[in-house]
Amino acid sequence: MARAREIPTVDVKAGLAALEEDLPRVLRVLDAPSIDALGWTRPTKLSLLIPMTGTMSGKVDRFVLRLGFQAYRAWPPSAQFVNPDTGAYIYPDDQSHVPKLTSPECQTHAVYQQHQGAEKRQLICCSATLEFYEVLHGVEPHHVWRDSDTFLTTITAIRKALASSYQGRFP
Amino acid sequence: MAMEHTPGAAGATGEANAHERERHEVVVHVIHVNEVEKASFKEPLDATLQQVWDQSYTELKIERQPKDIFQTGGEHPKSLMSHLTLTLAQAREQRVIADFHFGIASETGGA
Repeated sequence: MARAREIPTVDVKAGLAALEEDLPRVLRVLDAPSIDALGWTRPTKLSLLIPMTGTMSGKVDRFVLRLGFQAYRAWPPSAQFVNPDTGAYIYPDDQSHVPKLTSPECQTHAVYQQHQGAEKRQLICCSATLEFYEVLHGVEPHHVWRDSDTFLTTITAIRKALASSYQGRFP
Repeated sequence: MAMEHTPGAAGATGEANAHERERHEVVVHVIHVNEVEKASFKEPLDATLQQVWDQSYTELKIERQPKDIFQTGGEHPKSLMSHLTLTLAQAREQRVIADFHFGIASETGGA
């Protein structure tokens, strides 16, 4: 169960089982017969690639969000914007594949370093992503990920930020 | 003069009213994001977004949480929390909503 100020634990077996359980539920609620129908792909058993768009000044920008389920569902899925050609994120080469989001519910950092000497990483700063807990980010009790939440919560939170506070790509 | 009511006339009036009501009703679709549940139900166009949100919990059979947010549905969800007094018709006219698909999601933190 997710807790504030606690390092998430990886459990690949549980993550895979939870994804297998949740995927049909999410497809049903979205009225989609398959992930293909939504434009999603599943490059590995433990990941999904979700296309997303942001619009600023009438220009539509396309992004790909990669969700990882290695600690799911006790913890939220890992969420990273990735280079659509490689499915990976390497800073600084790929930072233009990250949207600038400035919502109080969800902000993005093309690079984030928890402390000097710590790993530099992309951070989608949102209580519905695994990385948010991995960097021990402060969180209000009512925002902590619940066991009943699914990856649809993560996708919706990020999409909502894209719809309301998209500020273009990182340069 | 007292007005006469015949069963036939009452029936015709009732049918007309029902027809009139139907003309002003729409089917709304609501997804509860956190619980992964959905419901569809009819609402009059003069129902406010607050009323639609309230009714959604009854239809979904899910308890309201204090930090729930009512928002538009689809791939570009937007909060409707500052528009709750608008009716469905007004919200559509003012382009606050594009259709009658909605979502309920708990607030997340990220600032």
